[in-house]
Parts: sequence; C-alpha cells; structure tokens
Amino acid sequence: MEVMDNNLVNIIIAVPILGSVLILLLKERDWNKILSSIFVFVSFVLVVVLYYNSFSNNFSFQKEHRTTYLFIDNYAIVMALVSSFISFLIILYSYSYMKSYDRQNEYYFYVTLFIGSMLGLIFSSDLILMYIFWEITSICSWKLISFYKKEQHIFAANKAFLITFLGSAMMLLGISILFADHRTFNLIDLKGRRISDLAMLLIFCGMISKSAQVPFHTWLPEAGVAPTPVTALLHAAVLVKIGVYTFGRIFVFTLLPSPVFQNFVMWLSLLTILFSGLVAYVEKDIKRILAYSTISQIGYIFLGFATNVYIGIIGSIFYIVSHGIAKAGLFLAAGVIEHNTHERDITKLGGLYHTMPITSIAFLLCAMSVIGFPLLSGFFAKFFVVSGIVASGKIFIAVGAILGAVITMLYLLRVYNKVFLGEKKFEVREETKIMLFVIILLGIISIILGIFPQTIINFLVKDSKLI
Amino acid sequence: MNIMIILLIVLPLIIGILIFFLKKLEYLLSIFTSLILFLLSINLLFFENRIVEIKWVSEFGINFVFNADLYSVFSIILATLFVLLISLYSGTKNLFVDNTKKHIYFSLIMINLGIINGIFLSTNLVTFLIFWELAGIVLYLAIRFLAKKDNEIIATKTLYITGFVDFCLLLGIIMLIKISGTVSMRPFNYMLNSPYTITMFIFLVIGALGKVGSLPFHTWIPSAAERVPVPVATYLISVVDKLLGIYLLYKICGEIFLLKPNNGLMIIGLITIISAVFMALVQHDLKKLLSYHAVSQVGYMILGIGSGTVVGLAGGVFHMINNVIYKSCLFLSCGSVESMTGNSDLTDNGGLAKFMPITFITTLISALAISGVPPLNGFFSKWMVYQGVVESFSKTHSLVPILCLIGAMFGSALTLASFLKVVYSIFLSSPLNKNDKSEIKEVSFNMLLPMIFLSVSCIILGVFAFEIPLKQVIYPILSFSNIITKNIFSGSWQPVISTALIISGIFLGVVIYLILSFNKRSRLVKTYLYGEEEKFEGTVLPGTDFYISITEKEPFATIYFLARKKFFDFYNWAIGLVGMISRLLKFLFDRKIFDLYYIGKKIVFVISKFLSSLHRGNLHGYMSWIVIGLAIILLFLLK
Repeated sequence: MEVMDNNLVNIIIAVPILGSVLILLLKERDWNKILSSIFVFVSFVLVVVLYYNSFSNNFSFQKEHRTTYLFIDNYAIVMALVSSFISFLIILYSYSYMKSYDRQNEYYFYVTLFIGSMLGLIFSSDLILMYIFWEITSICSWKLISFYKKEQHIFAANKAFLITFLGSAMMLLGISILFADHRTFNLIDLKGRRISDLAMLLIFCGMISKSAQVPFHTWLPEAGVAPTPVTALLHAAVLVKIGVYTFGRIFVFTLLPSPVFQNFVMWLSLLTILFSGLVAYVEKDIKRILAYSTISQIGYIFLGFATNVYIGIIGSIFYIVSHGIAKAGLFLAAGVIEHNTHERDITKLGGLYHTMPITSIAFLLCAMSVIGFPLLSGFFAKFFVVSGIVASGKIFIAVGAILGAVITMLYLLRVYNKVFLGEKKFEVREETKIMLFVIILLGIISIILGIFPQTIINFLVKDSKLI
Repeated sequence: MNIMIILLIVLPLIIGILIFFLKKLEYLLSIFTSLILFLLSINLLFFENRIVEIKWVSEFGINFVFNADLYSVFSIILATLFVLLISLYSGTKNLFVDNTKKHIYFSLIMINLGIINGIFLSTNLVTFLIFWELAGIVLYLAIRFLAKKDNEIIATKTLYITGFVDFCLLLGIIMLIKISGTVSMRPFNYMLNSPYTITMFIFLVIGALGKVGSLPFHTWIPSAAERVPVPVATYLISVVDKLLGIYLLYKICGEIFLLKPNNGLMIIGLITIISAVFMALVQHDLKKLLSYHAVSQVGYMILGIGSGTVVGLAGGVFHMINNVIYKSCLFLSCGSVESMTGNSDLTDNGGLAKFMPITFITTLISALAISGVPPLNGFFSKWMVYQGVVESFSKTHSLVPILCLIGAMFGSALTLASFLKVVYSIFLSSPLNKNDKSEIKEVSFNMLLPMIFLSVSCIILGVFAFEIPLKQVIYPILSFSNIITKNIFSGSWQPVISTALIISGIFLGVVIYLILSFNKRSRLVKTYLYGEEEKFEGTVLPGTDFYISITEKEPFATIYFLARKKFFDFYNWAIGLVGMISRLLKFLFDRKIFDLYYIGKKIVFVISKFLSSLHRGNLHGYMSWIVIGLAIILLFLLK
C-alpha cells in the first residue's frame, strides 16, 4: 500500500509537469485546453484516491523515506486536493475566457506547469527540491502575469518576479544556514529541531514575499492586470498559498520556532490584516480590492499557524481550503463582470443584479464565505483561527482579528452593493454557460463545506503527526 | 419526543423553502404550519426529557445539542404564537407594497421561525452562535426584498450593524469557551473581577444589546421600520429581536455571570429610554414613532436586568414579554389603519374612531399599557423594574440607580404623552384634509382577531400578574437558573383588588353622572368669541403640533437639529471613521516610498551609478585604480 501510494504521488506530480511539455509542442488550439484540463483532472482524481486511501487505512507514511524526497501526510493531501480542484475549475473557465487570444499553447503550458510544480512543492520533503519547485512557480507566474505583453503587464510581472525572487533568495540563504547547523535538508530529519533566529527570519521573508504580506505585498495588487483566470489561480490555488503552506510545513509541523518569533509573526499578520483591509475599503478597481482582500485573509492563515495551538493550526488549514474556494469564486465572478461589461471600476458599475442574477448570487455566497458568515465554510475557518488566538492567550490580537473581520465585511459588501445593486447602468447578458457553471459551483461548494466541515476537519484530526 | 424538538426547527425551514419555490398557497401553508408548531411547543412543556444530541464537528465539541429549558420553551411558545397571529393577520392584500413578493415574506418568516427555535434550543454555544448569525442574515434579506425605497441601503446598514455585533458575540463566546473549558451553556456565575472576564462580558453584552436594538446599535430600526410592510416590522423588529436579545442578556447576566448591580448596563438602559422617547415625541409617521418606542422600551428591560436584583431580572423578562405583546398590537393596529387609508402619517389621518371602533379600542388599550397605566401589564413590569432599581440602590448606595429611577419614570410619562398624540390625531381629531371617508370601514376579521387577542392579553397579564405570568412563567424560569425567587417584592401592589377598585370607581362615577344628569338639564351654547368673527370653523389642532414647541426651545432645538442631521447616528460615525482611516492609510503608506520594489530599485541604482562612475573609460582613472590596488595588495603582503 505504502509503495503504491508513493508511486501515486510521483504520478500526481509527473503528469502535469511532463504533460505541459506536450501542450507546448502541440499547435492545435483545441487540443491545448483539452489536454491541459485532462492532465490536471488526472492529478486531481489521483489525489482523491490518496485521500480515500488515507481515510480508510489510517496509514503512516513517514517510516524513514529518506531516499524518496517526497512524503505524504494529510496536510499535504488536503492542500493538493484544493489546489488541483480549483485549478481544474479555473482551466475549465479559461476555455471560454481565453478563447479569443493567441498563443494558447503557451498559456496552457505555463498553467499546467504551474500546477504541476505546485503539487511537487506540496509533496516534497526536501528543502532543495522544494526550492526548485518554488522557483518554477515564480517563473510561471512571471510569464503568465505578462501574458498580454503590454508595457503595464510586463512591468507588473517584473515587479512580482523581482519581489518574490528577493524573498526566495533570502530563503535560500536561510536554508543554507539551516544546513550548516543541522547537516541535512530533509524535513523528516529536521523534525523537532531548534533553529537559529536569523535563519528563521530569512526563511520567513521568503514565505511572506510569496504570500504577499506586509511589507512584501505590493506586487499582488499590481498583478491584477493578468488575465482573470491567472489572477484567480495566483490568489486562490497556487501562488500565494505556497507561502502559508510552507510556513505550516516548516515552522509548525517540522521545526520549533521560538515564542518571540511567533509573537512577531502574529503582530505582523495582524498589521497586514488591518492595513490591507482598510486599503481595500477605498480602492476602486474590483481586482485590486480582491487582491488586498487576499493579502488580508492570508494574514489570518499566518495568524492561526503562529498561535501554535492545535485548534488554530487546524483552523488555518481549513482557512486555506475555504479561502481558496471562495476567493476563486470571487475572482472568477469579477472576471465574468469584466468580460461582459469591459469595466473594472466599481463606481462605474451598478445594477448588475437584474441582468446577471447567477453571478450576483455566486459573488454574494463567496463574499459571505470570506467574511465568515455561518453555514459557509469561512465561518468555521475564522472561528477556529480566533479560537486558537484566544487559546494562546493573546486577547488583543483576537480583538484585532475580529476588527479585521468587520472590515472584511465592510469592503466586500461595498463591492457587492456598488456592482450589483443600485441603478442599472449596463445592458448586458450573462455569458457564458461554462463560466457561470464554474462560479456557481464554487459558491455551492462553499455552502457544502460550511455545512459539512467535518469532511476536512476529521481528515486532518485523524493524522496524529499534525499535532 | 426527540423528533418533536427537531421538528420544531426543521419543519418551518422546510415549509419556508417550499413556499419560496411554490409561490402560492403561502397563506394557508404558514397558518397551518405555525398552528402545528404552536401545539408542538405547548406539548413540549409536558415532557421531562428534552435533550437531543446530533453529532457534527465532534472533534472540537461542536455538536447540535438541543436542550429545552423552561425559558426556551416559553420563548418558543411565544414565537410560534406570534407567527400564527401575524400569519393570520397578513392574509389581507393591501398590506404589502408589492403583492408579488408576498411569498418571500411568508417564506422568510417561516425560515426565521426555524432559526430562532434553533437559537432557543441550542445549548451548544457554537451552534447557538450559528443560528444567531443566520437570524441576522434573514433580517437582511427581509429588509432587502420587502422594503420600499432605499431598501438596499437600509439592508446593508442593518447587515453592517448586526454583522459587527455578531462578530463581537463570536469573540465573547470564544472567550467563554476558553475560560470555562466547555462548549455548553450552563450557569457559570463568573465574577467581573479580572480584565479577562470584563472583556468577555463587554463583548457578550454587545452581542445582546445589538440584537435587542438599544443605543448605540439602534439606528437601523427606525429607518427600516418606516419602509418595511407592517407585518415584517411587527414580527422581525418588535417580536424576534426582543425575544432573542433579552434571552441572551438574561443568560449573560443571570447565568454566565453572577447576578450583580451593573451601573454600566443601567446607564445604557437609561440613555436608551430617554433619548428614544424624545425622538418618538416629535415623529409624524406612526410606524417610525412606534419603532422609536420599540427602542425606548428596551431601555426598561436593560435597566431591570442591569439592576442585578432578582426582582429587576424578573421584571426585565416580564417587561420583554409585555412589550412584545402591546408593541405588536400597536404595530398591527397601525397596519390596519394603513391598509384602510393608505398611509400611516399622523397628519393625514384623523377621526377614525367612528369608522374603526375596534381598532381604536385595541390601540387605546395597548397605548395605555405601553405608557404604564395601571392595571395593565406594562405598569406591572415597569413597577417591578423600578423596585429592582431601588433595591440595587440599597445594595450599592451609588447615585446611578436613583438617577435611573427618575429618568425611567420621566420616560414613562413622555411615553404616555406621545401616545396621547397618536390616539388623538389618528382616532379623535378631525382630519386636516377631508377626503372621502366612505370607503373606510373596520378591517376584516382575520386582522381584528390578533389585535383583540393581544389587547385582551394586555389586560389579563396586568390584572392577574401574580397568578398567571409570574407564578407560571417567570418564577419557574428563574428557578431553572438557580435563582431564588422568594419574597422578592419590597412594595405591595395587588392588581386584582386595584382593578376591582378602579372598575368600581368608574362605575360609581357613571352612577353619579346619571343621577346628576336627571336633575340638571345641560344646554349647548356657542363658544363666546368676544364678538369677533368666527374664523376657526373647520380648523383643528393637529396632533402633530402637540409637542412642536419643545423642538423650538433650547437646548432641545439644537439636539433635535443634530438628530435630524444624523449626528447621533453612531453607524455613520463608525463608517466615516473607517473611511477616513482608510484614506489616510492609503495616502500615507500605499505609495512608492513604502514600496519595497521602488526602495530596492533606488538602492540598486545608487550603487550602480557609483560603480559605473568609476568606469568612465578614462585611462588615467584606470591607471590610478591599478596603482592604488597594487599599493593595498603590497600593504597586505608585507604585513
């Protein structure tokens, strides 16, 4: 069983990465997208198989797999499940969104490679391997943000690449210090070890540059110029989740960070939550607002991990899931709006509720989920994270987190009101069916996860290594 | 047995969703359902084992645990009864702005009933919170879909306020779970002696006060009540919110914390009473006036519970029940007037007592009850609240209870004054514009029945206050929370005897009048006008002018002016503050000098410039570099 599952992981990573090359070589337009979705779908199905194996067997993988460089635990499986699923939906959405653009093979090549390297990063247990996948995602995002090749796009892509590269260079330095101290890159060997403050800080800089936290956050709002499926991919499934994922992987489940460091992370996250939430409240461009919203919400995930309390950690993982789904829905709904009205300024939009009811409902569901209203997945995520903060005894930060949630409510409903309510300004039809299907599906999944959060939570709790 | 408790929650939810998609039969379906639920909830009283547990996220103890304690059972009975009455009432066509949305109304009422039954039954704090927040969302949907004019703005305002309050409650509940180590609600009796418990208390109380609509969370109530159809205002604003908010406040002050006089709560109660009643005094729209009274009456409940005495607590809960009854009766009467005349404005209506006698009587009874005229129920519960306040003074000897007592009595007088104006201008005075009155008649029976029922209950609960509500409802509830209810009264008021005396007094008066009228013949004379010409014919004193003078006297003039300018709307302040801080932050920090990218770029350019300035292609320069370099190397080698 164990060997089989390990091979499964190899296949999960290999299919999209090797497949992407095939996509690049094919010039036929229709084959590109179909192949891309098939490859990602295969990975997704295999992750589901892994999920069921893990659920039924109560397996333990980490029996000295030092030769493989890959390992599996329930945290990785949940993350892979969410990433591959959202990515698959986004590729479906791209079918009609990217229809009119040239260089389809390039687009689908980078997207598939992006997802493949994300899956590789999730399952890698070796810091160097992790770093390699990390940089592949950087390059993919660089090419994808500048996909339209205008000056503004290239500038945004360069900015994103340079800031994240600055972070990852610092991280590489941190990893080197770690290696000098412990003589290993393997996370399984490093489990439970202490780490020097400098290395910790350097690695952390890499993570927050990828996850766009203050002060490395400035690239993310600019990256909104990319095609909408790409921004959704960056925000929800792949890029910014890398930082929080590796934070959980390295600083929560592997190394023992010092309390001072945890305190520092918590205050920085709180600062990020409040600052970017407030900035989102006055922005006008819908994609920039959603980008600031992502920055703010990722802050909660860091906050939950940094509490180092069981409920907070589980809450953070659940937060990754719920935020990924809801934020993908929000971005893709914004994409539908942009696609139909060619307008991104929310002050110029209005009354779309009458002409685009499905988009409106999907947007509201996802927004409510991000805010944290009950019966949507965001509620439990926020509840667990705040519980974790209170359990770690930091009431001030908990109050700040609640304030952040209120601000989230203010700016997301502001967007909803400005875009969908009020007087009708556009005579448009809702298009296209596949795009609507994707966004409404994401809204429905938010509800399902809100009513049955135990599918994820029980799964995480079951893995005793995650304590 | 277990299925019954679950049915109480699930059945209305299913029926509500069914109505929403069916779009017809809504009237019959909701009356039928609420009747079944009412019977079910009464049935609940006679069972001992009232606990149901359904597993949910059991890893963290979050399960559906439904335990019907007495307070929940009584609240559910009240809620289902009101849904029954209001469904009955809402059968009439012209109550709604848009009759095509009627099914939305009925479906939301049903869904809301299921949710609030869930709130009352939940003992698990987390599921309690979930149901609680869902009730807020239903309120948002109701205002958004059913209100006329600016519905979206008001709905958003409501959602912002309830959302803020619910997030505060979330934090309070999380803190409670942390300190108690359990997720189930039960008497903890914490003391307010550490920063932790005080913070927890504040956040929990914000949750309760926000729901019940006291200051400063009240501002959505008048603007929403003005715009929504009457049944929505009656049910969602005057029944559900009061039931829920006082339920939570009772749990906080009576069970979670040790019952103690709390000056902060009492002052909030006092301010709520006074400021809302002053606003009510000068309103011209009946619905808005009633909604300000809905806020003002909440002050008495908070005052009673905040007094921290058993009689005050009992009085607060009793006042809530009474308030729900007479306030709904007033709202429903207002709806009857509106459905006949087409508007609820005080200046446009007048002299309706002749055409709508039953509505007049029900309005009069409930108006007297809300003003606290003995022997009606409002008097009794206010009297209990006052006793609680007095007792709290004897415990603490601080000035606050005395101040509250005076203020509350003053507020009661102002309430009476403002209802004099209502009764006068709608039912007694002749209208300013004499339209055709021939179409105005008494409303249909399905609307009258709830109103009659409610006003009769006002009398019964007042006259038999000891026998029925206190002994049967309030005392059992209190003893369920381990609060001793013996000899809680310090004053004495015997409602039955007093009522007998009042009635016999009235009877005596009538007899005297009749006897005297046999002896003397009265004659009608024209008003003596000092020989002036009669110019007053046809002009009447409009009721809206009653208290107009107060708005012209300082300092009230300024206060009213500011209130009209929404100066006291703390919602606007908060939103404005957030906007200002946001703009400031964006202006200060979201710019290039704080952008790591530009900082890095600048640094790199400076260094590159410097380095490139060393390589200008100048031979002399390079030669001098080589010489300096050689010198440094030699220095190191020779060392």
